[in-house]
Amino acid sequence: MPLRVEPPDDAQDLQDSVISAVGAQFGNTPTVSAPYPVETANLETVAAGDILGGLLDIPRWQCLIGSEEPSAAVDVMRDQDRYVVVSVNYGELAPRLNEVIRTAEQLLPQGDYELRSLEVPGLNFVAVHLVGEGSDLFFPVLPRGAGPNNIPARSYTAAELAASLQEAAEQVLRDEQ
Amino acid sequence: MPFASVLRAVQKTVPWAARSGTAWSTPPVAEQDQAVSNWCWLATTASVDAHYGGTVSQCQLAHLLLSQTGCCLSPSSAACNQTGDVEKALKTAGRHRSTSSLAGSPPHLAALQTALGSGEPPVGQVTFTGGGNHDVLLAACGVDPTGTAVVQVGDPAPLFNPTYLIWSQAHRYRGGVSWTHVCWTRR
Repeated sequence: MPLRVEPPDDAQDLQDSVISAVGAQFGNTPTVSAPYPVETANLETVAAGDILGGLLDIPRWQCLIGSEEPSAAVDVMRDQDRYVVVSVNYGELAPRLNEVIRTAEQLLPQGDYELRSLEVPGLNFVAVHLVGEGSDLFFPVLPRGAGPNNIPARSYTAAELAASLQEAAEQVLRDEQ
Repeated sequence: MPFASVLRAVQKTVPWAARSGTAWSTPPVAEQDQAVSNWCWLATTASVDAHYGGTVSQCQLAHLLLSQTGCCLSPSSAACNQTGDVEKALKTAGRHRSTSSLAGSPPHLAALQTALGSGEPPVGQVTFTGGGNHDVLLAACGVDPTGTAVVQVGDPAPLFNPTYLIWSQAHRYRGGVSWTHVCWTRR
């Protein structure tokens, strides 16, 4: 098993918060994933050709939830000493993210990678971020409709992903000035 | 497709007290997916227009607002795939009632409930903490099984459409936002 998740120490509390808040939308015994961290990237940093150098300090986790297969992504953040559910995303994110993670599991038969999710909100862009020893890999989670800059579905290094998103980030910042 | 094995998914039992769904005060208004990456403002305006029975499309609005003619054929061209002002788009579609500045905080729930109760879905404008602006349809208000106020956000980005947002946490939407304006719409 080359991929692993690093949930917080009190992941059980986090999952219980999710189940209490939204579990009933998925039946009396829904299936919920281990929580994984979500990284939020800064648009200006992306426009400058970097991804990981400008991650915001926002402690944020996500769980996928569904009856048998993942159908929603639940965002969870800390509020002092407890977890609070922020939102439940019923869009394409959960099924597409699950698909991309499964693909990554098959493509990476060796090595040791920690699973995270990366979001560039200003581009509506999400990628699976696999943190390896000395190397990071990214797999874009692409919607069926509009995505940023028509990025092909393949694995990217941090430098490749930054180069692929740079022009779109520059355009958004330029348009909004 | 079952959960990826790395996610170590487990079945959990929902507490009895939480065994009901979210109750919306009005049926949620449908938000269109944006046709290309920068058309959140046009998708949201076209959705509002469709709610009122109109037929204007995202690319027709692009023609009017960007002074272009080829956006229905080539929406992803540089000339067409541009960001823009949702207030101006709503005015062009004849669906703008007024705009309120928000100075960072989300609109008051009571105001949203009043507008939605009148069948007039508001449009929220946010700036992400990490940079970039976005327009969303505030499609329904409701209460979840724990008695918490929830707003259904019609987010035109397909990965996020729709999202149920716990309204007390609205400033944390998608990692953090500043709510800049709300546009009130009309028939």
